[in-house]
Amino acid sequence: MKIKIESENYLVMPLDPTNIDPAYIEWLNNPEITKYLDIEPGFQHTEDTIREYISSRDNINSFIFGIYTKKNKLIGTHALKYRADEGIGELGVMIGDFDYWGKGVPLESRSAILDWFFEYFDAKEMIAGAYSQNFPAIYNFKRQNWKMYRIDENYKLIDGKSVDFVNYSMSKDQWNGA
Amino acid sequence: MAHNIGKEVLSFCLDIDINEIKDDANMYNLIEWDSLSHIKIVLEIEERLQRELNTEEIIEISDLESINKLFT
Repeated sequence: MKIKIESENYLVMPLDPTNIDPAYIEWLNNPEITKYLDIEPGFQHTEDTIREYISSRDNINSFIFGIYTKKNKLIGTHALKYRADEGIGELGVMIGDFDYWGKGVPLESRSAILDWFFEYFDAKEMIAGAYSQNFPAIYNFKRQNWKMYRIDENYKLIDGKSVDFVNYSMSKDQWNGA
Repeated sequence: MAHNIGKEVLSFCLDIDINEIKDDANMYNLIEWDSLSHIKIVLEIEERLQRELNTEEIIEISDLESINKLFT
């Protein structure tokens, strides 16, 4: 059964490797969008590399979810890996469509994913993170009451500057009590 | 004085009349304080302090009180 997670304004569904949206290729080749993602600088994505990337997820414990408007427009992605032996998921978000920056898309779509995740997997915790200079991402974690549990100092060079990585967690109890 | 700096920062970055900013202003109760205006707020604080904030300071910014604390 195909997973379909719905929030008020968005649909979250696994990306289809046989039907790759050209916008997704553009986003992954745009340094402004990818500078805070774990993508090797200068790496040029193609339809083939993206198909391979999406196909590497089994859609059982690991997913690349597309974030779609209700008019079926792809505007971003959530990547999820569930470590079943630990009951922990790892989540990362990318909003590719600039028109949807600052519109609260990560907050709304991630809320829907957290609701689904804790029920579907009966998981105990979701973890995620952001580079310290990615202020909108830090805002979103704070806004959603994630708990900061570790700062990895000097994690990466971005624009020639050493930046930290901030690790956040959201437990099932914390989420259900939120 | 520090109290006013926090309100000045929020007023400038969020384009709100300073007199409308309440003492308990925060990212939850100010609709204008979204993820993009948060960039402006952090950069404005750095500009006024004339230094870059460290990670511990950046992740604490969520309300008027946390902003004012940076100026004390």
